[in-house]
Amino acid sequence: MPRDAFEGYDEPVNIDIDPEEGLKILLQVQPCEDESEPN
Amino acid sequence: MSDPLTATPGRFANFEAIWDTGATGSVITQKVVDALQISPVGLTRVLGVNSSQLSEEYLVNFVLPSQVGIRGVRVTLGQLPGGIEALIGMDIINLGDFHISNVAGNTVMSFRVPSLEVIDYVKIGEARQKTQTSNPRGGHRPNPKKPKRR
Repeated sequence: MPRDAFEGYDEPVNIDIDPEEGLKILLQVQPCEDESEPN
Repeated sequence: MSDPLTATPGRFANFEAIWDTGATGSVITQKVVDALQISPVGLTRVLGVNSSQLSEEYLVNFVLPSQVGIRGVRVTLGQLPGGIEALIGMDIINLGDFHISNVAGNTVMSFRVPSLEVIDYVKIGEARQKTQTSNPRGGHRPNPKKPKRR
C-alpha cells in the first residue's frame, strides 16, 4: 500500500548525480488545494 | 535527465528541478503555472544580484523522489535556465538533512525529512584521532598466514 507522501517520514532520499547535470531531480508539483495550511 | 514529463494538467506534473542552497525560497516557472492551472496567492519582492522586482507567489505541493512530500510550499514565479522548471531552495532544504558525498568520484546527494542528526566532520575527525591515540596499533592483528620465526 503506498504511503501518504505528506505523512511523517525519515527515510532518506538518495539521488545519484551526474556531474555534468548538477543537482537535478524530477520533481512532482501539485496545486496546493488547502491554502489555509501553508508549509 | 530527459525532457520534463507532464502528467494530467491541472492536477500534478513532473518537472526537472534543481537544488539550490543559494536560494532563500523555491521558484517555479510559467510553464509549471500553466500546466497546473494555478492562480497567484500574492506578490513578493525578489532580490537578485543586480535586480529587485515584484513576482507572483503560488502555493503548491512538492513530491520528491521516493514519495517524500512537502505540502503548502509558497513559491515564487521566476525564469530558470536550461530546461529547469523548478528550483528547490533553502525553504525546503531547511526542513531536513541535506548531504553530498563523493566517494570514489561517485557523487550522491541524500535528503531526509525531518532532520535527525548533525553531521560534523570536525567532530568526527577528532573522534577518530582520539581512537587512534588511545589505540596506536589501530586494532592491527597479526597476519595468521605469516610464518613465525623460530
